[in-house]
Amino acid sequence: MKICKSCVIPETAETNKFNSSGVCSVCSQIEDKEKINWVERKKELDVLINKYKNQSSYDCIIPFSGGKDSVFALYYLVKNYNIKPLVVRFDHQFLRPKVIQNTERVINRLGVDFINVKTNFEIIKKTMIESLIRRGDFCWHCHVGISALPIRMAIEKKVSLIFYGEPSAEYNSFYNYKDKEELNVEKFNKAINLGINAEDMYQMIKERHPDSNIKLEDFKSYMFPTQRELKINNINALYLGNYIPWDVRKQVKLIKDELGWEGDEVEGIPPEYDYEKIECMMQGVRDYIKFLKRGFGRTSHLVSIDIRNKRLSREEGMDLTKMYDGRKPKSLSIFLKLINMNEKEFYETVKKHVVLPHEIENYDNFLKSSSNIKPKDFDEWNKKFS
Amino acid sequence: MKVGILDYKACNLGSVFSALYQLGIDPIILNNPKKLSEIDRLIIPGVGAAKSCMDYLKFNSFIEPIKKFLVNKPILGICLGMQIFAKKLYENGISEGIGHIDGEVKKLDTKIKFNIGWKEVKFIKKIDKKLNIEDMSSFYYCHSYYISLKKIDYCAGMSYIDNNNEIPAIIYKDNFIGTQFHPEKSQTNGNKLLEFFFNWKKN
Amino acid sequence: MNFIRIIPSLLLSNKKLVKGKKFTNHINAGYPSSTCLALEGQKCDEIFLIDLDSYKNDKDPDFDTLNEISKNISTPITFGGGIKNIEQVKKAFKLGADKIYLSQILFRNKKIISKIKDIYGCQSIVAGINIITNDQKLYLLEDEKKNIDILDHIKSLIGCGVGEIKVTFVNNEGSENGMNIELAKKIISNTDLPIIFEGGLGNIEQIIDMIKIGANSFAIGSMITFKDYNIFKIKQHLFNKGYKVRF
Repeated sequence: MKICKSCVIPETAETNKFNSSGVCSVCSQIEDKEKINWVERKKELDVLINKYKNQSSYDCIIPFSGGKDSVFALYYLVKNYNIKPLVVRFDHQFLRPKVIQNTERVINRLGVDFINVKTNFEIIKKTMIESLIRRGDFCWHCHVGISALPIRMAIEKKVSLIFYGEPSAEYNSFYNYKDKEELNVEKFNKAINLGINAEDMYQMIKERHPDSNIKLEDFKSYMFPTQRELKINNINALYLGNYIPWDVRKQVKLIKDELGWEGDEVEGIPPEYDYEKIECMMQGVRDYIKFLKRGFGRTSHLVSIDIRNKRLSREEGMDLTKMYDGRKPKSLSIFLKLINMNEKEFYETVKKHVVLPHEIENYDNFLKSSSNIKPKDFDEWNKKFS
Repeated sequence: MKVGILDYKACNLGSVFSALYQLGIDPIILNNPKKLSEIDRLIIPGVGAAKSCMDYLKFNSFIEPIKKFLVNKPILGICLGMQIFAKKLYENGISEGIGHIDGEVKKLDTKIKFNIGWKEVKFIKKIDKKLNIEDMSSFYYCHSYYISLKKIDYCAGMSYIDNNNEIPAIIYKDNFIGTQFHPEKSQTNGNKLLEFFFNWKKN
Repeated sequence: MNFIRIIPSLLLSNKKLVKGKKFTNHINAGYPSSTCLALEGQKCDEIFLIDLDSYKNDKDPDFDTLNEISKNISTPITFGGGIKNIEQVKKAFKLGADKIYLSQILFRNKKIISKIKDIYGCQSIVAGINIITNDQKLYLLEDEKKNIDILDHIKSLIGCGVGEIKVTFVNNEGSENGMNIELAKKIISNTDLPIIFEGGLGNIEQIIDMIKIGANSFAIGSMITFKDYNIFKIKQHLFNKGYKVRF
């Protein structure tokens, strides 16, 4: 399996392309980042915000999770432009206590309107099983919800501007820094919905559970608007990281200092990375599946970002990766109980989605291994789902 | 902004209509030259045969009204819709074109007689600074005839269709833009071109 | 010079997408317009849409679904399924088709080709050749009793005025065991039209085997329906191996 000569991400990462020197496309993109005229980009942001300020009940919509990127985006826009945003969260219902606390604190301190939307959890469970079986990724409802919901809300409230935070060029190659990435129909179908739209998911679930009384309307929150609807309503779903240079470490420090945002420990990664992916109880399982399918995990991803920003050497990164990638999370037991699958069935399901050239010959070692480390809120998770 | 699509009873009308519809436009289908007065700009689709198309336009008195329309308002010609603006067309016999562009439409002289698929367009001239399409972007082609220009000035972009043969991909003169490729079938790149056309020369 | 074309091959039955093996045993494979939206997002190069019901019976093809799909995407659509007369062709182009696929009618009435080409041009016609190999001999699905010479058959279709050919290896269809390389080689070196190949693809290596002998356009079915291969991933793999694909 080929690994980037600069960072530690292998060829099995989705969208990764290697150039003739064996350097991956994301590393090349980060080099391009420095060549962008950020002064000009900031001016464009000024123009955009000015254009839509005071045109509607809200100046913009900010899709929110409570994690570092959406908190920073909200803080930056409120403090620098004095806008009146509507903060919208699609609640995937695996939110950890710390991120809920963080949200309360941030929303109170910044003084903004906040809407948190939960959808039918029975349906969520069914979509988790369906997408795990069909795509080896159980997070369909979250990928789709956090994209579709804020945009539907923008149309409903007649708000044209939507600001997400981190541009995907920071970690994959669906887009690069020269593109002004937008969340439109193309991106939704190319990079977000696993190739499954709400109408498809409804049909698939109906087939698997023919006796259920699920209707197409139950999937409304997952339906992405048509391109025509986006054009007619003049919807612009943009990424703040295309207008200001994204700097994770600097931004985390800022929100910790200014808003009292707190980090949290995440299953299976080095404790110093207390700021990334802290929102979801199922993050450990998600990262574990990534490791099984692609042969690398969350630690590889995190150290690669540090390597690209010259905060870590490749050797140091490799060492951390070897130590942490692939650990079985304790939360796997909760996950399996939730979707009513045993561990052997789980490996058989994930096995079908392994990305070549990565291969796993034998799952016995995985079955035998156990994990002793559990995050402090683990018992709360257990309680929530039993 | 009223955009009309000329229906000459032999084109991929549905596709062009859908492309415009998805871009937020409510296109008006033109099957009568009198309706030209209702629209601000015109699109003439492709997927047709030269003789059949020119015969239809002549028989239904479209030629003079189109020429008049072009004096003040923009027209986008796609594939055959572009070729009919040449002086002569050589498909199924010889037909007289509208003559706005000094050129002739001839059969491709390549080993594979049909150019079907995606090709990169090398832009050699900027029609307008607002046309924001990256050089060597790919567009969808489906044709076996091409326009051979007398003057290269009209050509804004070329495509190599095999190792030795280049054809005009996008041409323009006064209020006319013509594309050999199909923007309504070229996904994101095509949409960019169509949106540019909607806003081109807007006063 | 040519970009490799990856074309999802979609079968329509009773307003739903289905997929089968060897032209039988079709199972539900998704909702047409939202699936096509996903495929377009994944940068498929074209879409092949065949109405299985009208292919088998004497009814009109599903124009409603064609129109619904067309309304949502700006990707070239080739439409077919038992198309037998010029009225159906006209309706198809009015409702979203960019090319027409003909297979069965070519055995009963080749004249339809000239009717279509006079109005829409040769480039709008894709002729389907469904090849069955039995003991070194070749037959066509539509006429299994007659042993044919494939090159003669193709020449006669070119003579009538088709613009493109789709060759389906019926024996290999749904098997995911690869295509008939020898036969493909023979067809490519003797045909001056663009050729789309279908039937048998199950992994990237098999696509590469075909590219090496000169093929550049592939219609795929099982590979994206039953597995997690999506168009974007297929193209990414091909790109990483040095082949020309568009994103």
